[in-house]
Amino acid sequence: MNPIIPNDPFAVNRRHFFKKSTTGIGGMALASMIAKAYDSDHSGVLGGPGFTPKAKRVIYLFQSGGPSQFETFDHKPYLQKHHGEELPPEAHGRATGMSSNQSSKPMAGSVFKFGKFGKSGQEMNADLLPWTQKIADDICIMRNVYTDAINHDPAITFIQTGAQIAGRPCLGSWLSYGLGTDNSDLPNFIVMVSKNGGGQPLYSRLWGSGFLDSRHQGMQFLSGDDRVLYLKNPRGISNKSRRSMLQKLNALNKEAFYKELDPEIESRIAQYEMAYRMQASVPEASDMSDEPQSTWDLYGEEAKQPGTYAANCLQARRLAERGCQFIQLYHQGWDAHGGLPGSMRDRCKKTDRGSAALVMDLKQRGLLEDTLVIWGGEFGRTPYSQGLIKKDNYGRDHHQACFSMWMAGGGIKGGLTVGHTDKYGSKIVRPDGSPVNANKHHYDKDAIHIHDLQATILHQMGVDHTKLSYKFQGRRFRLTDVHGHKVDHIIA
Amino acid sequence: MTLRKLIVFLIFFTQSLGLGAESVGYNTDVRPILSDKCFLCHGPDKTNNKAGLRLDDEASAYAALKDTPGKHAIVPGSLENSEVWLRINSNDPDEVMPTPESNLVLTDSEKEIIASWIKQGAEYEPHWAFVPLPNKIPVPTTNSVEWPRNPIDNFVVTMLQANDLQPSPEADPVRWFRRVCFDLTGLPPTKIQLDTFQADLKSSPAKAHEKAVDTLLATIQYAEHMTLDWLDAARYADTWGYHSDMNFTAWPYRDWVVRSYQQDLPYNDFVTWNIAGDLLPNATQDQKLATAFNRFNRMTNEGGSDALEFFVDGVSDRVHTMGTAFLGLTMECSKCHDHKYDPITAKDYYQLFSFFNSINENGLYIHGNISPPPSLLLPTDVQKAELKKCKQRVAAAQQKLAQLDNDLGSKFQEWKATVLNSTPSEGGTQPEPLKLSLADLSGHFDFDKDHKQPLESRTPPRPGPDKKAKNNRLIKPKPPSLNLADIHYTKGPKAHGSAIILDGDRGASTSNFFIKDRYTPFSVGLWMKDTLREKRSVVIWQRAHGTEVGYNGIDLRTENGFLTARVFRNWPDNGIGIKTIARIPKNEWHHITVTYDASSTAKGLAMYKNGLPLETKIVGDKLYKSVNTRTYTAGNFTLGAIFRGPGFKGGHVDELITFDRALTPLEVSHIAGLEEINQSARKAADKNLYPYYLSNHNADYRKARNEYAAAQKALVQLEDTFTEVPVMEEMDTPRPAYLLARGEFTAERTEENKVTRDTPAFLLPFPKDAPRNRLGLAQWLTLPNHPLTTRVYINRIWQQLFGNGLVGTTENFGLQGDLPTHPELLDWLCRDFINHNWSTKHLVKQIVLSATYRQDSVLTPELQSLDIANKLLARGPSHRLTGEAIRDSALLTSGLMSDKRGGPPVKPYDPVHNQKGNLDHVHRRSLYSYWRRTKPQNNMIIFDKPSLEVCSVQRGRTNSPAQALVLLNDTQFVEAARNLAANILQKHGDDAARIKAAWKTVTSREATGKEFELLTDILAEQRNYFKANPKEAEAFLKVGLKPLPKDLDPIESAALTVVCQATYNTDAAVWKR
Repeated sequence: MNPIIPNDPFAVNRRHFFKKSTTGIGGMALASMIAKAYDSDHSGVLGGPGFTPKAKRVIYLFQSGGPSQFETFDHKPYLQKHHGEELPPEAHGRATGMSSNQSSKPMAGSVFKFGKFGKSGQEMNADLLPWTQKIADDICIMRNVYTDAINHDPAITFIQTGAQIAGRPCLGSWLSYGLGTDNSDLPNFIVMVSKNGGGQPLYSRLWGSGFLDSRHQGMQFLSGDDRVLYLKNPRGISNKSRRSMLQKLNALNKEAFYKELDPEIESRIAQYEMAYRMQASVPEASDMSDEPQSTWDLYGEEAKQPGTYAANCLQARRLAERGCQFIQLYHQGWDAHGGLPGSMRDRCKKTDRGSAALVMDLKQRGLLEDTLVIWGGEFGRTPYSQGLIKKDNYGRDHHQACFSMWMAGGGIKGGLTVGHTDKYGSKIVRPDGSPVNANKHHYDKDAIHIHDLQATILHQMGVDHTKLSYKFQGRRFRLTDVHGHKVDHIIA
Repeated sequence: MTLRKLIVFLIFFTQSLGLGAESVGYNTDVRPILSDKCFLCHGPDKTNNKAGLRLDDEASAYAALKDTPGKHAIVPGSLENSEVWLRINSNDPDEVMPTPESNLVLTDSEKEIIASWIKQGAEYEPHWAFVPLPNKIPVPTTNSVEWPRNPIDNFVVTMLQANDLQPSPEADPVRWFRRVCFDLTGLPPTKIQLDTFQADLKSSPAKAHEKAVDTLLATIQYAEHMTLDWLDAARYADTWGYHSDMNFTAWPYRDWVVRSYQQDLPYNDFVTWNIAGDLLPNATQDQKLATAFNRFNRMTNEGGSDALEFFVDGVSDRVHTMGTAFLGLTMECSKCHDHKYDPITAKDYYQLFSFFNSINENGLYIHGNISPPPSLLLPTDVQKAELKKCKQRVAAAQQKLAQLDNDLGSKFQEWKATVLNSTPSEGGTQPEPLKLSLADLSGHFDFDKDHKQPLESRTPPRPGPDKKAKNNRLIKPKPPSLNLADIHYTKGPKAHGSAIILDGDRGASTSNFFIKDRYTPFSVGLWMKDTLREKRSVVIWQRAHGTEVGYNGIDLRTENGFLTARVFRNWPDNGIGIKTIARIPKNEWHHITVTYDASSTAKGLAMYKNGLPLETKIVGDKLYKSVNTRTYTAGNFTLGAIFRGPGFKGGHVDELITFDRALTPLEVSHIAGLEEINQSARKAADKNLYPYYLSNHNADYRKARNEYAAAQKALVQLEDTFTEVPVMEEMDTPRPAYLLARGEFTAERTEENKVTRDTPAFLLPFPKDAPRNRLGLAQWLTLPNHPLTTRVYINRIWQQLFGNGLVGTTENFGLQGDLPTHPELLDWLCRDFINHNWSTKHLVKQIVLSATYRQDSVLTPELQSLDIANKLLARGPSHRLTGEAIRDSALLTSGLMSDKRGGPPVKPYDPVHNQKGNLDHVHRRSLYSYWRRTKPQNNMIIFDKPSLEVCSVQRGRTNSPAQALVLLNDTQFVEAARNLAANILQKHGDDAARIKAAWKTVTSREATGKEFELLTDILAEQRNYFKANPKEAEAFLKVGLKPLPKDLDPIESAALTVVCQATYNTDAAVWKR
């Protein structure tokens, strides 16, 4: 048998073809067929950013469980003054079943002091955030973020995928789908979960690709010896012996290609090559032994323990340097229904330095300007105490009507605080104290809905959130559904 | 090059649909454009018809435009008068359609199609998939007389010829056989299967294929394979899916699906059982079990969740799943508004919703240990025998009690004469003081301020007005300690000293006290005063485990003055309860007693006010399994509060007293202080005194009662071990359903937006005589001319075999879905399927024996350029195997696969969750793996196992580096290679034979010369490597749990293992060709 081997003109042209032919009815159908057949293609569906992006990559420091805004960035002297007194019903907000049955809802003022930091004089917790204080001039604090959901699972799914129901692609997957990757040695979308967190569970759907191809899903970096699942050769197999076996394996698969003439086989051969490269590049990216003492001075000794939040922050910087597009850290344990002051002390101690060190490190390396760093959780907490209130101890239930986040770099204004809440910290208000009645159907510049946040993140990456869509079940889906406005006044 | 392909494609695209180049068809050419680009604003969603225009509707499109009278969107035959044409060609951004904001653009060729259509007369056609299935579909005659083997081929070859294509040559029989093995069983052929087939080919070549198919269809592996595919659609998983994602028992359903495929249950029955098996007359256990399908909606037990929100979500999920799995419709779009593309209104949606909302559930699950009712108990045969014994024991104990009740009259009289009516002793003036007591007292708390808690040293209570009478004291209670921190005191009722005031948040609770289940009788009495009378239900006392999401236990509640006493496992469907008919007056002291006789029936509960029975109604009368299941919280007996639940705020309570049996009315009146027991006993009529006597003073009766409780306990403890599966069970009165504006669960529910059960009118009408419930819905779904049910199913089976459906969008047969490539073939298959009693085996057999399926799958350069997706079926199917099939193949060919089937799921190797594994579990077929809904196995997700959270009918087929890493490094696959190598080493003596055997076992064919050469090279290289590194060989051979046979040479084993690894990673191993 001596088959004619086509030199695969399709492969050469497919990117070109794909772009050119997305118009036209036949083109549409054909393009989607080809997109399926050639799913190893690395280009994104948008073929590149729609306009000059401010950010080339995102590092999302997700604080899972809902960190309290009252103990971080939203200072409420009124609550401190009236600690223990009954909160008026109009400030209760939509309570969860955990505290809605409570007979009394006493106001809980933060036990911590607040102060103003940086040249810009940004206000934040003076006791718990000594490191974040140092980056005050680099971050934009948003005290007016709000969301639709009040339970962890729907809320975290909403902020990550734009829908409370499961099955939609997450932010990182949308970016991978839209922008593709130029990185052939490392996964484009990496997820890390602190091992020193604990608390509410996380789900793989949060970094899942939903209805998009599974190649867009986030790859989890673990804290153990195996940074990526299945990356390490089995015991007893050296790289050299693996290499020589792979050469023969590829030759075997080439034999199959000669017979079947299916370009998918070529694609598979390429995947084996990529896998082999990853086996080298991932350990290299996570081998911190080449870091100078100045790194440890910055991130602290805890960064030497793999899997801690600090170590993951450092790992995020190393991945950003190596061209990863979307790096997401999760730190669990912010869900303080009771014993909140103690819990906040502990969580801040574990995360404050790492977050700030990362921003400083990126800045000194010139990476901050095109790296968008995001800090925040899935919702905020109530102004009243859940459960017993004492002078120095209280809890807080979930609160969706307002909470605080910050962003830095990637074309976001630093040294800026936006957003106001009423004296109870229960609702978003305008600077003059008048109410803001915003919802996802009705944008208001004084409030930042999750879809607005998502639109802004996409915009910084050069993507118009209304144009990044995927047709599934006959409908064009977007990360921002049919909502979302980019928040212009925080963009530099 | 690119352009040429596009043209070729367009030609075959239009030709394939039987159209000349000049004429355009509405369904084939025009509607896809209008739907995709126009219907969003001018489609079926009436609330969103911009300018009042609908372009999906002929009348609206032709009518005069509302905003511009005299003008028409479409004037048939006249481009210049058709506003549509003018607007799509406008240069004015305010005029042009689609609007710039829509991000939608019409291409020139699309505009041309619209122009041709308008010029032709702008004729509308009904959507192909909504047209009832014809009774007869003519099979095209073809001049290709040689090729067709059955009617499928006539359809296919006709289409090929219309596109100037020829079928590919028939695949080599062994290649076909391997293909058909994968397609029918998800496994490669075993050596025996392969040898048999090859022998049959020789002996009776004409029959060999059919015999092979019949044999495969009869295997259990066939049923398992079909089940796996269905379980994606059924969103089957072994956990609940939200948040802590606890286990729930789904596997009996999975095993039923296997049985149903094995028995080839007709698909119309399969649909009916899934949707409404419980409603079939004299429903069997399997029919009820099948309805678990409707309970695989995700559920949560997250604290703070709103039960109504999740209830609505769950019911919606049932509608969506039915939509996708049976109807191929995107129902979810109509949850918030009328569908933008398909004629499904929001009203249609909620009418379907109303079929699925009437089971007695509350929307949340309590805990993984407690199935949310309604549920089905599935005792094994052994357990059934045990159950029978237990029930007999209960009945016997009950009978014994009744008999004693009947027989002890004379003893009672004796007792009465000697104790009650004893005359004064000689010379005395007073009768002997009575020594009556109340037996089984377990606790008493007087809440008197001056007494320090706990009550250990306290004198037991002296109820009744005569507080000083010492000789009628009750049996000393066990001394529980009551935590009364932060409790405020007030004046108690009558002469009872002080009482406590509850604040609703902090209760008075005990530990190790009042540990009750449904088999333990009890009585609880207390004085209480309700000062607030809250409208919501608040707890007076409880002994329950759980959170506000759900509790199990015992409680007394008040709701706007009405009292409810309950013994429950999962309210509302698994519990007994009684509620007072009248309100308890506010702001007054009342003595309230609850008694329970351990009978697990509502009749066994009673409530008394101030010593007199309260009139009550039954609010729940079904109870199974334990009501003392440890979930969350310690489950301590607590007054006035419950974890995260509404407590008895402003409630005053005093003199709490508890007994370990149901008090008789006489005693209740006594503890309520109506009368001192000695006096009431003297006065009481026999019928009132007799029960008191039996309960307190007759040892035989008391013994029999204990035996009754013990028998109940044995029954409950046995029941607790039964497998329990949530299923459907219709409520007596359907729950009303409403059109929820914007799909919000909080939307207003009014008489105006109330809906009744009905099916979408644009499909078939609801059958006249069918009941308006799920059974009627199933009858509607399985009407033999239903436009969607069979088309959707046959398409999915086709997809399973060919990789793509005849309709590419398996999940969507609506207007935005793909058109069928072979519409007549699809319809013919449907009708033939129905004519053959909806037999899946018949359907599958017919397809895999067709000439179409038998074609070789080689992708020739011609086909690569003309039809790479194989829409025209000019070649046989080929695609990557699923993750499960790849894993199962490795297990089978390596000889590791366990032949254990069914039962609870098992955990395979997982680098994170199951690093060590259990030898009995890691080699089971993937179907039996433990599928965690929020996180399926890593090595399966990497091979596109879909999310198990919602219905899924199409899998991705990506190619990724992670897949290479799994196949090379995952313990499961290394172990398989190692075991295959060991098996071969034991059987074959030389390198060549070993290599050939390894290759053939995995790929079902002989290695070619080049392949053999490459494998030989690997063996030589690896042998050298391991010779130089013997310790590495030892380490390598320890991967996985399966021990290596002792006498094997480690160097040879390790080297051959690498050869096997390479083989498992070849195209020949992981692709169906």
